Amino acid sequence: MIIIEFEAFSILSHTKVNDFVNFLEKGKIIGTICKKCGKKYFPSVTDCRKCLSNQFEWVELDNKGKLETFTMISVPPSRVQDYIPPSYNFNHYLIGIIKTNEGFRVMGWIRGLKLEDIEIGMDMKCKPLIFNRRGRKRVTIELIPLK
Amino acid sequence: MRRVAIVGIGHTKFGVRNASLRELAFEAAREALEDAKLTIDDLDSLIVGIVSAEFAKMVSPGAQIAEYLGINPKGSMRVEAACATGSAAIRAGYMTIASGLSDLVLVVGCEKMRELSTQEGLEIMSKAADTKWEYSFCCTFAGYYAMLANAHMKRYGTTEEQLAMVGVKNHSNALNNPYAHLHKKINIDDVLNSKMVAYPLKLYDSCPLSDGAAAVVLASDELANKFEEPIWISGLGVATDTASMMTRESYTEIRGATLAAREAYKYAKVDPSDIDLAEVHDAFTIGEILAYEDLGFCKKGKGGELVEEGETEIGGKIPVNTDGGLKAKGHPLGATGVSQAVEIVTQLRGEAGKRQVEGAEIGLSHNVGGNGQYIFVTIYKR
Ligand SMILES: [Zn+2]
Repeated sequence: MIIIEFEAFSILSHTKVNDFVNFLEKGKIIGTICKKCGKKYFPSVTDCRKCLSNQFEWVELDNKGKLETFTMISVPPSRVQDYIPPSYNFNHYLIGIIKTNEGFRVMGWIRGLKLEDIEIGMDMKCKPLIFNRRGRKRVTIELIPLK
Repeated sequence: MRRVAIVGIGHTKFGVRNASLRELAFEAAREALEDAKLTIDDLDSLIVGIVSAEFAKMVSPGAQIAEYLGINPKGSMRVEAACATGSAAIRAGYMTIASGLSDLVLVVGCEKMRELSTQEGLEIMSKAADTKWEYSFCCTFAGYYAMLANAHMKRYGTTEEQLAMVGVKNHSNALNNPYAHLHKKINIDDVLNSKMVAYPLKLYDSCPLSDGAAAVVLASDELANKFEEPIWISGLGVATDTASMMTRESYTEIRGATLAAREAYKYAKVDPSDIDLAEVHDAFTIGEILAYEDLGFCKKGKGGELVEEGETEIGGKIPVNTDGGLKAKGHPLGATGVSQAVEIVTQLRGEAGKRQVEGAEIGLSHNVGGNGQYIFVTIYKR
């Protein structure tokens, strides 16, 4: 059932994994697990590359991990106007990728850190964020330092 | 399979050009045909490499180029592999001849990037990364390479100064390349003090947006031997990886480049130490340092030291980007892989003038598509 459109998260609106954004709105970051062979996927897919099955279940990710890499964008693309969450600076925003304890990598906006405070390998968690931007509902993922 | 050689090369001036896509393609094609002492009528088919028709405000741009070149009604098709499109086009040309389908093929790589504003151009390029899952985090291509740079700096101690040295070297080489977009000598401080684009990459760590085209004429071995100085395509390697950064195993190498290089070396029966010069994908300076390592010119993690020791300058152990690289020569996306071939042929013929690598016999090109999803490594021999 579509509650919010995938477009709240992405440039695309049609997908078989629209529930990904519905779960985000409920505060959960989810991947998929193949019912036939058990392979786990993030980002979510409905089609298993290993066994070709299209039978899958949603599975919530362990949201804790370590920062793998990051950058601070200082020459932003114009779409930033549509996608940047409130409280982030348009002209200097930090984004990164954490590797969760289960081994999945999750990209997100890095909250609450200055460039000089960032250290690759630091403990972080990923967390959904819901906000409004230019009259549209958006869902996204933030990376937040633990401690 | 038949052997394939390059028997003609052509290149436009790269930069902001008051010329349309088809006119740029013609400029390069004319030069390549004149170089080979051929006419359009001599050709069997055409391969066109263009990354995005959106840049040139059209769909199916290959057909409009084929018409302008006067190749109709002979066969033509467009090839695309993101920023590695030019090398993919050469590979397609190679396959066309090696298979026996054609004897003489013109390969033109081109891109018209400056018809649009910088912002519009950056938006189009952003869509070469994962649009479904990563687009909304507003990363740019500089940002993706910056993520690789930060991971490499953390793991291996590579420094911003070492990144800057790549830019300084390539700007210096471009001074001797009349086709280069940027003719400006810079020093390390200029790079370090230039505007931050995506930490740690600055303006002078990044290639410009350029218009331009490059062309090569490919010939089968029986035909090629009738030309004065055929340069043989003696090894090809190709590999792929995810467009999505989230599903990458490593951020300290371009895995596909390591794999494509291995395949190309095996094909050409050479080792990294046999290569006399290399053209590598330095859209951002970290890209060149990763290339040194992935191509086996040094151990993993030692790329920063290699440039610092001057080994990749002309006169060093392995000169890299003698024409200025993407960094200073410019990177009209679809043209780049073909432009790399043009520089290597120029060097192997001994016609590179002030930037000549003395006695060069074997050259290698390394062309990366997107943020690492396509990698083509090609080896050329005299
Ligand atoms: Zn499966």
